[in-house]
Amino acid sequence: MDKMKRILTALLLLVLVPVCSLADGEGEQEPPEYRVKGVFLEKFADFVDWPNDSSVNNKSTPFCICAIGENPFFVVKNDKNSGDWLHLLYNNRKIRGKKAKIRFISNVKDIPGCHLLFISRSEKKNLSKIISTANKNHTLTVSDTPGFSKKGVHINFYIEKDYQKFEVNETAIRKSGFRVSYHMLKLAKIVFPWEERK
Amino acid sequence: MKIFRYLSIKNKLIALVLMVALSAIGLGSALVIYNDLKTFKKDMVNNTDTLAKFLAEACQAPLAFDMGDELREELDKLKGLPSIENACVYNEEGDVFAVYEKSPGGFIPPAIQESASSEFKGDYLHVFLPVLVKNKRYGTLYLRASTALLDQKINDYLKTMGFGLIGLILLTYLLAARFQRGISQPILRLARVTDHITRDADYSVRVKKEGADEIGTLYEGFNNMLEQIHLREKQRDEAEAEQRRLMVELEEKNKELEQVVYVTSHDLRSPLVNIQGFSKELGFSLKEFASLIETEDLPPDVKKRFSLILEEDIPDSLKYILSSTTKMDNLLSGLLKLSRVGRTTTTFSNIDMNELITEINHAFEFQLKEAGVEFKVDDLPSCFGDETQLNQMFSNLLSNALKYLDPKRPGKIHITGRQQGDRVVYCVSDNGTGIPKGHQKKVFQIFHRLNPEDTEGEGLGLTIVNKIVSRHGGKIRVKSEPGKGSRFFISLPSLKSIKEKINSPTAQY
Repeated sequence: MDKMKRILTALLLLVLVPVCSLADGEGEQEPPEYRVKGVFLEKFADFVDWPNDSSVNNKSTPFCICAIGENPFFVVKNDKNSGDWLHLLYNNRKIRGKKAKIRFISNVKDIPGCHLLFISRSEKKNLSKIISTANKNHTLTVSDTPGFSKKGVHINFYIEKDYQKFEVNETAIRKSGFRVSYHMLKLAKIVFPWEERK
Repeated sequence: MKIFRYLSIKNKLIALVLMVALSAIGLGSALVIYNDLKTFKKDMVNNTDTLAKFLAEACQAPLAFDMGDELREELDKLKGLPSIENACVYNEEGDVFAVYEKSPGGFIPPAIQESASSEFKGDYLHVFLPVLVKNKRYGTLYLRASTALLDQKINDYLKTMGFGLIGLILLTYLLAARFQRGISQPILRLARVTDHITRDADYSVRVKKEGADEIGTLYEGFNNMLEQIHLREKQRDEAEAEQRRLMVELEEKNKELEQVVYVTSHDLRSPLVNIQGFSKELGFSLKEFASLIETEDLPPDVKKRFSLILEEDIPDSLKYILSSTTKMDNLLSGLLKLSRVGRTTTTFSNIDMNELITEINHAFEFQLKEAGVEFKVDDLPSCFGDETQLNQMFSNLLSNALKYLDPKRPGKIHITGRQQGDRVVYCVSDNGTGIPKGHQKKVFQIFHRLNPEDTEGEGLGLTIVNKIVSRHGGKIRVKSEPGKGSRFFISLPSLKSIKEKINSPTAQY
């Protein structure tokens, strides 16, 4: 039954999507993985409330998105000159009513001032340090590495049946003073820290 | 409203109450129904809007994170709501992202509307609601709700109201029919009593007073009126009975009197005839006695004394006795005549007065010629009466006119007549001595005479005339000026009026 519906919707989309995408003037193509992830970052910011004393609530300061470690957001993989999706997406865009600012950092010391921190796969070794620093600075942490979530990263991307999904360490995110929308939690896979200890 | 006039008071009251109640109930119900229908629609809009708000919130995350399956899951929850036919979610760009159909097939999502709106169009309520997260638009939700349920609800509601109204009207009718009696019954009772009174002329009935309202006062007034009528009727009946009794008494007295007059005048005549006869006999005897004395040889002085007694004293006395008896005889025959007028039956017929007067003229021809009177008769209208009596009446009047002629001038007697309404008025005028003012009213009295010394008669002529006139239902009056003459006006019923009276049931003749 579910399958039937999915097929039906897919069929419907097949009819409708070309009509919609005609406006783009480009052929039908799956959007690049990191563009999707980049877009999701903004959405996380919309569905999560920062602790009250965070500078996110100060309208005059920009919303700072940081990426630590090896930069995965290049438009052409590993090509530094091809530009990155984050800049492309947020150059002239506001997040939570604030101007967006993109920073690519490599040092833990640079974490203060970041409101949202993408932790690259490369930072596996420094993870606990990065997490503790981020938590101290009310920085929401996002990663796309399996197992990071269990270690304390707030939100972690994963792929399920070709769909981009995310898991949330609800305990960690709450502990850090964040409040997550019920509707977002409903979509996410909830990760429990004690599963790690097993 | 014309029909209203012909309704009985009972139905009028019921109709009135029904009309008032219907107007009030109708107006009230119309307002309530109008208000309720508005509320029903508003409720549907509110409910659908609220549903849209909940759904939009549930759509936020799936829309934001591009999770179509999850979004469709949310939309599928609409299955529990039969009124929602279709739903559709548009993404940030305004493209259709997910669609819901209660029964699959045929749904084409409408053009997106950016702002929130809800409007009835066709058989559906269309609701658009933007999906906002932190004031950022992530897409738009569209809901299409069928108004079939609302229509059904309105239908049921109107049916219930209709039955309720019919029940109310029925109840109003029953209550009005029951309670109108308080007003209509007393009026109907009064009408029945009035009807009874007019039919049976029974003024002894009374209406029993109930309540202290205007109808109670009306009852009281009605009873008072009846009381008064009853009292007056009783008094009138008593007065009429008394009058009848007096009339009978009077009639009996009159008859008695006439009988007395008749008997006395009749019975008195026989001794009078004896007196007359024997007085004459006495006269003869006296003459015989006188001639006897003549032949006897008696001393002259004795003879002279006898002669004085026999030829002067006794004849003088006899002369007085005779003249008195004659006078008395005349009186008695007059009285007899008078009583006869009252006693004889009258035979009414149409009288040609000209003929009658000609007859009288013949009878009086000698007297008129002897008196040298100028006798003139106009053309007279006929009348209705007893011929013998009318002859007597005119004869008496003519005789009177002749009797009282003025010797100083040539006599003139004139008879005229004219029709006056339903009566005929005759006039006998003369240029005789006339009647002094003080006597004019007395001339019709019995035994009244104007100047007994100069004229003959018993004073009964005009009395008889008066009696005849009154027996004819007529009237007589006299106008006179001493030294100039008299005019007697006699008004009698005409033929026309008598005919009318005979035709009416109360005619009495």
